Amino acid sequence: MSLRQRLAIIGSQFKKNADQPVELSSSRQLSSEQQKSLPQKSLPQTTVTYAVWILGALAAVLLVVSLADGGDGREKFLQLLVGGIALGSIYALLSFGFVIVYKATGVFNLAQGGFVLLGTYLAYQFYVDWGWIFGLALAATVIVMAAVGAGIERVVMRKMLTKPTFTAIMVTLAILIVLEQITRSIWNSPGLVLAAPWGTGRIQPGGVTIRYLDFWTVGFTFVLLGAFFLFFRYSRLGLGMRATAFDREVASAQGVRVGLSFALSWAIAAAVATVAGVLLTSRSGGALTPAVGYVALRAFPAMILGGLDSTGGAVAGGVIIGVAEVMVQGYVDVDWLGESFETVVPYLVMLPILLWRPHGLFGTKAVERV
Amino acid sequence: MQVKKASARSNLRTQFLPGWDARVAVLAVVVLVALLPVLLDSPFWMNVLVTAGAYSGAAIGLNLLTGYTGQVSLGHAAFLTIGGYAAGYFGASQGWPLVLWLGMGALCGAIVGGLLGPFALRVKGDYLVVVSLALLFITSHVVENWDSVTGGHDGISVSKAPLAIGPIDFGNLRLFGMEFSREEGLFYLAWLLVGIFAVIARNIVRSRPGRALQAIRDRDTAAEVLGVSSARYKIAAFVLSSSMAATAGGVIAVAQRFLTPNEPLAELFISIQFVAIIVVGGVATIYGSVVGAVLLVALPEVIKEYTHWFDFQVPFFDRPLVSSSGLDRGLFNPGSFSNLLFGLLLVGFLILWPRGIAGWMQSLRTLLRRKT
Amino acid sequence: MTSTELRIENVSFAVGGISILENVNLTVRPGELMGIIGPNGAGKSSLFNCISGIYMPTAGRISLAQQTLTGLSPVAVARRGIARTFQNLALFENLNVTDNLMLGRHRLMKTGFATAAFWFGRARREEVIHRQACSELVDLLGLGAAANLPVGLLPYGAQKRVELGRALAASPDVLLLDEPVAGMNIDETEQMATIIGSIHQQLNITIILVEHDVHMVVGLADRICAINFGQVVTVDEPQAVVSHPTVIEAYLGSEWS
Ligand SMILES: Nc1ncnc2c1ncn2[C@@H]1O[C@H](COP(=O)(O)OP(=O)(O)OP(=O)(O)O)[C@@H](O)[C@H]1O
Ligand SMILES: [Mg+2]
Repeated sequence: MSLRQRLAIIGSQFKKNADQPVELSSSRQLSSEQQKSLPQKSLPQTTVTYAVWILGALAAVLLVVSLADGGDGREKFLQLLVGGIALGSIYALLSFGFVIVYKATGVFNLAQGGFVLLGTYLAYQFYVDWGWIFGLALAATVIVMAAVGAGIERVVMRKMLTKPTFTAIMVTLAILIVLEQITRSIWNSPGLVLAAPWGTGRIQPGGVTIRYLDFWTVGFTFVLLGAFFLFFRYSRLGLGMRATAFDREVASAQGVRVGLSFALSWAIAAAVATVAGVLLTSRSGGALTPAVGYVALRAFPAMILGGLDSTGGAVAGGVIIGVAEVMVQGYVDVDWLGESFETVVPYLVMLPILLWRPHGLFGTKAVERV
Repeated sequence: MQVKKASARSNLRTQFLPGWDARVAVLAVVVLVALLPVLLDSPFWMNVLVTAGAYSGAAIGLNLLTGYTGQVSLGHAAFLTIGGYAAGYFGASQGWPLVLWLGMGALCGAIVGGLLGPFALRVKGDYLVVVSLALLFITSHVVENWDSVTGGHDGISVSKAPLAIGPIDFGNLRLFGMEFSREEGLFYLAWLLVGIFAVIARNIVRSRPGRALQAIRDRDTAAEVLGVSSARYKIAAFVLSSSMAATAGGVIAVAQRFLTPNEPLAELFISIQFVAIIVVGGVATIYGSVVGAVLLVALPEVIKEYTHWFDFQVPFFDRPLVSSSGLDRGLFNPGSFSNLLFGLLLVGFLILWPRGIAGWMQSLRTLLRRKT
Repeated sequence: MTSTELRIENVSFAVGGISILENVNLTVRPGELMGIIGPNGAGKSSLFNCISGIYMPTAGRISLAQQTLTGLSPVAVARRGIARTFQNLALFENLNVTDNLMLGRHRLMKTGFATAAFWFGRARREEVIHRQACSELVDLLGLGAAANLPVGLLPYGAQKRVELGRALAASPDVLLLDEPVAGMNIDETEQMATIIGSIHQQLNITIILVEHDVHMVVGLADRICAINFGQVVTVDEPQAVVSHPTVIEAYLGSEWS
């Protein structure tokens, strides 16, 4: 049996909403009536449902603002939408990184903020300080950071696999601090600038300004995420990672190198964090500040919103959170809410979700095995 | 007969402290703490010890939540802040007496904890990490913007908060014909609270509710089939830990005399510091919380006071590790060096000695027992 | 004594489109020791999980003394007097043996945070009374020497006994035992069988025993229920069940005599 076939079996046995019900080893069959009554492919269905809802809501708002405020209202709305999607795709990258690590190891990885920080400053080092061309500098940074991520997993987090998750989470906190202090001490002069080469150009279709930066942000994000989705779907390593996420023991019994999967998940998290950090810095005009690392923490709500075990959900959650934040910034002007209220919006969006659907919009509710 | 003996032995375990050695140690610490203000003649270190006391109290709270219940919170600093502003508003601005404003701080912490807890703790999983992060950001936002209570960006003075319980005024303490300074008075207040919290926490963990918390930490499903409602106990632990932190926050506020809003990131760092405190001291031990707090509060001060210890050339980088002459000449400045140490201590202990200093003491005890 | 009859009526359970239990019907009489046997993956543990409220049956009803259990949380089920052990140990590893047993008594105690914090009269009195009860259990299970050790440090066989003790400490009306002798050697198995037998006789509680050691089940059980592929094959006197052709074919094998 090829690896892919084996993984398909592992997958359909352990994934809650498998595409087709596969016989268990004990040749249990479903009656045809039962098969009909069961929700088939319910995960894609929810995804589609929510996507329709979200698009519908946006369209409705668009209609309302254009009716209420005419062309100006529509322009403002679309302008904010563009900004929101651009910010949201950065959140999407970050929450994708969270989900990858969570699925593989069951741990909320707070060190992600440290990866954003170190990655961004490293990109500065290659691009500005050493004067490499941007593409090369970015690629080099991503590779170095992926190695850093995998290294940390191998050396530190691997020891935490057998420990309770709350212990592992505390370790990721420690890594966050160590990475932050190391970065601060290496690049401790203020006023560093990482001006990515997409410059300040913009286009203005229909009165809506779209910066080149926004194109690059969204483009980069989706090419990168698309590549990862293909990787998980078709490559041997990617399938191994999925199998590990379904069930560590079974995957390992089936010959998947689970250790490699864990290391890869950390490598991917560190790599996407780096790209997100560079894009974030560009959004704030290129000025480097250590605070960039903590924006990553604003992507946590995106992960909760989308679903802890759903990479697609993570991306959707990121975009929703980004749009919500920018919309609030653009429209909500209520005195008693205080200044820069938008910075807490991601968290406020997250809280009701936790009560209503703690496993997130696109996540699956795990049935505990005892 | 044998049954009798065994039961007598385990009934003994209902006592407050397990062995004579623990009792001697606690007694020694109590005497030392009582005498310290008389022995130590340094307002600076007295102040550090006030903070250490308040941090110990808050750390006992976090240990109940993290060490005993297995829930990581990044929001502990937010509760210190809430307690601090409660001291500023109810104590300094409204002039309520000590017991009332301190109690009000505890109540505010408990209320916020009780409101927020259900979001994170109703279900299984480590959701508290994320929800407490939300709390950090929301608290900072509220503190910066609720001018009428918190003073907004300008901050609020806490120095006028009354410090007297009846005839005992911690701001101007006189005992046995001795006069104590404000720091020394606050030292007694802070460590009195540590004592109270320690007794409360110890009583809880050795009886029914405390066992339930530990059961949830170890195996939540098994706990539930025995009738332990994990949601309710986790929320209760969070409320208790929050109100302890808020009370400690009030003490820190009066010691600092003035409160200004912290960046959320600074608050996050303080919260992580608390996690480091309980890990280094020993998770799921009460005295470990105190040991950890004293060590880690003193650490940055020691580094600042004795910078020259670390002022040596680092090979390869050709710079001193921490420079005692020019701050940015060193590889690290004293502040970031101590932050780095926090991180390294946290990882190091979690991997090498997950039971912290309390674990060392335990090993030492068994070693000594075996010898005799 | 009220009749603590446990009724399982038409219970089905499925996860992600895979049916695990189908139309299970079983009535366990008060004070009866019901054995459950069946091949790996038959759904024995899942049935226990449905009874304890860990799994929510997709159809059917479970009731104890005519009161419905289906839909209740595990906590609520425990309060009705059902205690259980787990197939793969689920002990509180960092707590000592006595504390594990004391958690069994959780539902019989009342002390809350406030009373505990200040160690008022009741907290102390309750603690002493229940510790007494636990220490008797500890001796009954032959764990006296280990009473104050963290259970994580005990050998496997002892841990299994602690888990039984923890369930017993709850003074249950119904006791569910999921493979209590799995992985034990002959001596340990014998000891455990003796303990279970004497519990059954002396305490007169209803016991449901899932076990692959069929000799032991036949020796102890009043009746046996055989399950295969999530369905009940037969419920009958032990000898009748082990000579049932389907049971022999699906589970026992032809060497069984
Ligand atoms: N939460 C769950 N999610 C998915 N499948 C499950 C779940 N619980 C049980 N199953 C499946 O249901 C079937 C029955 O499992 P169960 O544990 O009840 O069997 P069992 O009779 O106890 O077997 P054993 O003798 O091996 O203990 C198995 O195929 C198992 O994989
Ligand atoms: Mg089983």
